Amino acid sequence: MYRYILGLTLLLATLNASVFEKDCISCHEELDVGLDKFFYRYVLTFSSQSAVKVALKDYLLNPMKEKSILPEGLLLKYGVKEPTTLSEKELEIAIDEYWDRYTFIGKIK
Amino acid sequence: MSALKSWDTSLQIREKRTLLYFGVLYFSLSLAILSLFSIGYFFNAKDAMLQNMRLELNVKANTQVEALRKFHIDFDKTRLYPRNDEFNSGIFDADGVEIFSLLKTTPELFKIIYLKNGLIHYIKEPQSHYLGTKYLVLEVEDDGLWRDKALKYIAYFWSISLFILGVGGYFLLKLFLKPMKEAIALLDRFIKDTTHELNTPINAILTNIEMLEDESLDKSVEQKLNRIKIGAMTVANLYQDLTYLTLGHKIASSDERVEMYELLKERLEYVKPMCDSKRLKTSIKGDESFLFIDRKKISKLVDNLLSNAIKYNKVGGEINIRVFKNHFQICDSGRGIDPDKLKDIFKRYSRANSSVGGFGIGLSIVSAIAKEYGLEMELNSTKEGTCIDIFWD
Repeated sequence: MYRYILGLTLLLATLNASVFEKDCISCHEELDVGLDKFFYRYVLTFSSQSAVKVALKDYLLNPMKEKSILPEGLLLKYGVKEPTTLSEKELEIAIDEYWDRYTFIGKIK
Repeated sequence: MSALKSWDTSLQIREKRTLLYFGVLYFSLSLAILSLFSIGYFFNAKDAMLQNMRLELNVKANTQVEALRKFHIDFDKTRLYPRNDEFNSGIFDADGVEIFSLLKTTPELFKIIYLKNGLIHYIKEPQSHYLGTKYLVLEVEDDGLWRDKALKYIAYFWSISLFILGVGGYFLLKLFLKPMKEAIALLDRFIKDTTHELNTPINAILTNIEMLEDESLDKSVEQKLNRIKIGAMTVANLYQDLTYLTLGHKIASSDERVEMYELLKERLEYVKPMCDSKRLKTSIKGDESFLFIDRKKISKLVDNLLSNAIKYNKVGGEINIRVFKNHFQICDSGRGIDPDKLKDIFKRYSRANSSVGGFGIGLSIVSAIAKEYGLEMELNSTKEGTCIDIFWD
């Protein structure tokens, strides 16, 4: 009985999860480097929200080694990722959530 | 020569006004130039201060960039922005959006360093965008020392410059005045010299005419003689005017109680030949009226007013005199005085109409005598004629 309840809860949670949680976090959890570290590198390179979002979207749609902000070592270890299967709209929603979750603005004291 | 010296060749109001305009223009221009220099110096001093501050603040900005680098790396451990007692700072992204700021005012990110509202802002663009920082802004308070120093130097500069300009202006004015004074002195000297030579021949002409009048003369000779008499009287009047101008201030007044109606009647009779020559109708009305004054001077005043009333009258016109208790009026039917010339009409060498002869000293003498005895004058002129009223207490 408990097993069914647990299974049902997990199923509902998966159904309610956002695109970012389902399609980004789920994969990155398996990597050594957290999503926050990627964010910091993006911000370090592109500075503003608009520039970061444009660069991220561009990379996820057409991943290339030249566009990657990963250090050489990590790039060798993990390689360049596959192009996203998400639609542009879904991708934009996921990137927005990514920005909101890790942005420095409003968090510094 | 004593007459020469006694003649007041000091500048008249017109010349003084010219000098005033010159003075105002000279000092306005001087002040404008001084102001421009001062403003230039002030902004130069400000720029120099900002350049010095730029070097100083750049060192501090590098320290802050290093602190931001550590903060970026350690953001998981601490969220406390690195502060510095020597300055306030703020960080802004490439779109100018504030990431975090301790600044008192919103900075102008497109500048490098500037002073505004007593605060100096220095904007540095770090090579790496730690926490997204495109612009790091440092803010320090301006101690104002440079301003005090600059203002002190400007005050010294103004004091010395004004002194030099004042002295220079004084000598420039003297230089400027010299030809004007010389021209006036030359004119006055000429009039005085001429005056000295006029008296004897005029008296000879008038005396001989009077002797001839007693004899029975042919009508046409009598007319010619009358014209000579008018001419001689005009010159005699001019001689008296000039004598008044040259010696008027030296002659002691012999004031007495003068009955004005009788005096005006007498003076009107005196100028009758001149009135007749222009076929002017004359009238005098009024009552007894007394004025305590030098008889010669009031006669001169009346003669000059009548002379003008005749001179500027039309042929066949009128001259009407009215005498009241403390006031008399002389009206003519001439063409009137141009409103632009009314304000200058009592000044020496001023003439209402240049087509009529004369030196333009008649009304100047009228004005001088009126001023000496506190008489008030009122001049009303239209195209139909001119009335002048003389009032006394």
